[in-house]
Amino acid sequence: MVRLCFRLTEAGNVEVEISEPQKLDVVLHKGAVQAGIEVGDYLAVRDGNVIKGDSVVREGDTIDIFPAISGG
Amino acid sequence: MFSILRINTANKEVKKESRSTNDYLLGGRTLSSRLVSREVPADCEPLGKKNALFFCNGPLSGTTVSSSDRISVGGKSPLTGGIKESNAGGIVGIRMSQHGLRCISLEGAPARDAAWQIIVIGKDGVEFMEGDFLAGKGVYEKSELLSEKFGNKAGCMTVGPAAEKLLYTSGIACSDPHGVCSRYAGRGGLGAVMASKRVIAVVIQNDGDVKAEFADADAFKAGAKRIVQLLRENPVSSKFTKYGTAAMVDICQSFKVLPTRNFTHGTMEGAEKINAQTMYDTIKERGGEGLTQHACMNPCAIQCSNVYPDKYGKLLCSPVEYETMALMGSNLCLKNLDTIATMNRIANDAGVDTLDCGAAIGVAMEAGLADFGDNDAAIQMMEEIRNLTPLGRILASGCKIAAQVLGVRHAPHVLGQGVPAYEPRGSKGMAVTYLSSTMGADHTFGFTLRDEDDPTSKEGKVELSKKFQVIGSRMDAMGMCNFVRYSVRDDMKPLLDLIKARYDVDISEEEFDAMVVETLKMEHQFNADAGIPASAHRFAETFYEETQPETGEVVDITDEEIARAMQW
Repeated sequence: MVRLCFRLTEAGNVEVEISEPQKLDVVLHKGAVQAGIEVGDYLAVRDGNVIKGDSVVREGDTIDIFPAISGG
Repeated sequence: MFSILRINTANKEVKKESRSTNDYLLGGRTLSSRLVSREVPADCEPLGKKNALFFCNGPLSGTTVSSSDRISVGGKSPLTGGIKESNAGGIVGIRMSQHGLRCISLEGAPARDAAWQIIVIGKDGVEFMEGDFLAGKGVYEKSELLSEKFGNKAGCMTVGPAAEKLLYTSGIACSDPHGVCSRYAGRGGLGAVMASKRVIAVVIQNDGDVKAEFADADAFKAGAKRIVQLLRENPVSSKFTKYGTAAMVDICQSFKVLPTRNFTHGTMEGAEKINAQTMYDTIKERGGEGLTQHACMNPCAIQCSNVYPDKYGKLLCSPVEYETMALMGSNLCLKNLDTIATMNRIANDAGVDTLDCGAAIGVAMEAGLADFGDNDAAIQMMEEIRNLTPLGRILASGCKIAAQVLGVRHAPHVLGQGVPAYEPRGSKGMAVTYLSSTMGADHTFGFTLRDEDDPTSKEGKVELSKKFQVIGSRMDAMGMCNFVRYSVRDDMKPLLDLIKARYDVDISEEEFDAMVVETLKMEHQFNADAGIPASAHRFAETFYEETQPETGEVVDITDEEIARAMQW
């Protein structure tokens, strides 16, 4: 199970089952479908480190997903 | 043809000139920076008579295109000693277009003890009115008095008491859609430049009768709808609608770049007390005049602004933005949104930039003048600024000067301008942008954070910063809100099509970007001519020597890398 924490959205936390390590993009797509949301550009953080869509995520990972916005 | 209204503040001579070149077509920063480059001697004294102020709207101002009515204010900055463009939302841009104006310039300067004047621009011409009755008053009171005199639909620009004393962090407050001067061209001390010309307010009457004309009205209408569609469909833009820029608190905390304790840390324990969700919930809970969604200009499909109410539901401050929440919040270890909103309100009333004053208070706290986390002391320091006490004047001179006076080495600035709300040791892309900007430490262009594969690595960051210096400058280049860029960053055509439909002028994406780059080159040349040395494009040495605890990083960007980032 990978826990995706959709921050700053109503979707909240979504748990995605994976049978083997997979790319974040793939897991995120599944999570977004489960949550019924469109993600768009995003920023992902795992254990305090930024990860990208092609990073491999594994069973037990918790990943914060933020909309890719900027300040003003 | 596009008009520039030239106002000589010394002899009150007024001239209207017409131009048809593409820099006048684009307006915004494209025009303001070129006019500064051409007409202001780079080595002049920023508060002297040779400096000038240029107020420029953009090519889509005065139309139905969302978020297209910002004004760029250009001049030589007393804070940085270099060129400055600072822009604001509100209704001034649209009032200018209703008078057929692309630019208003304030030139020359009367004697230092000349009476304050209000410059009133209306359909019958330009009038110089006595403005002494506004002197010494806060911006909110000035705004009310201007509304009483000229109506709340007039587009007003005024300055606060800090500008009247020529303090370097003073901005120019512009009317919002409700007639309140709360939209700031805040950075770089341009308020002091306006005050140095003894101009306490510029008023553009709501009696302009110039209607927007279109080469192809149907295409323009369709193009304007397309922009709204793009903004609404873009999941990122839509997030701004709910949370505004405050959403950055959580993001920066996660990225370990939330300025904390005078930029010595990148995270703050308890940051959730000042994050977007807490602000959203507080505004909803208090109700009254509070609004989680608010437009700084009309029309705007993003509406990222807010109205933060006090505990009785009365307006306390509008807007409260992320940069302020960080510089006047986490940077001072303050975890109370009411404190931040109160400080923001005082800053707006004094007419000073919240980032630079937040950075200066951080320095003062490091100097031991108050404890980090002391809400009352932080508010009191803002009161010192509003009351123009000796300490207040030091703080309102920005963090570089405050650090020199108070004996602090760790002063977060580049070229004297306070570092915005992204800790540079945790984001090397942002560090490159701050160091290589013509404006001093600036976050409004070259925003790399969301596109950095590894924020703490400097690998490839010069190129990334340069890429986003162009992308980020596109909106400023034509007076659009910066947040439109999410919807057009891979394709400027929808905006360029609107220019074609309005003016029948074809500008390709390549030509447009070439103009953006040319503007950057002119800005760099101005700064070089002003005598700003390469060695000024550095942080305080402490940023290179002391690691940020959360990332273990120092700034490791070299002078050579910054020289490359400044080379166009």
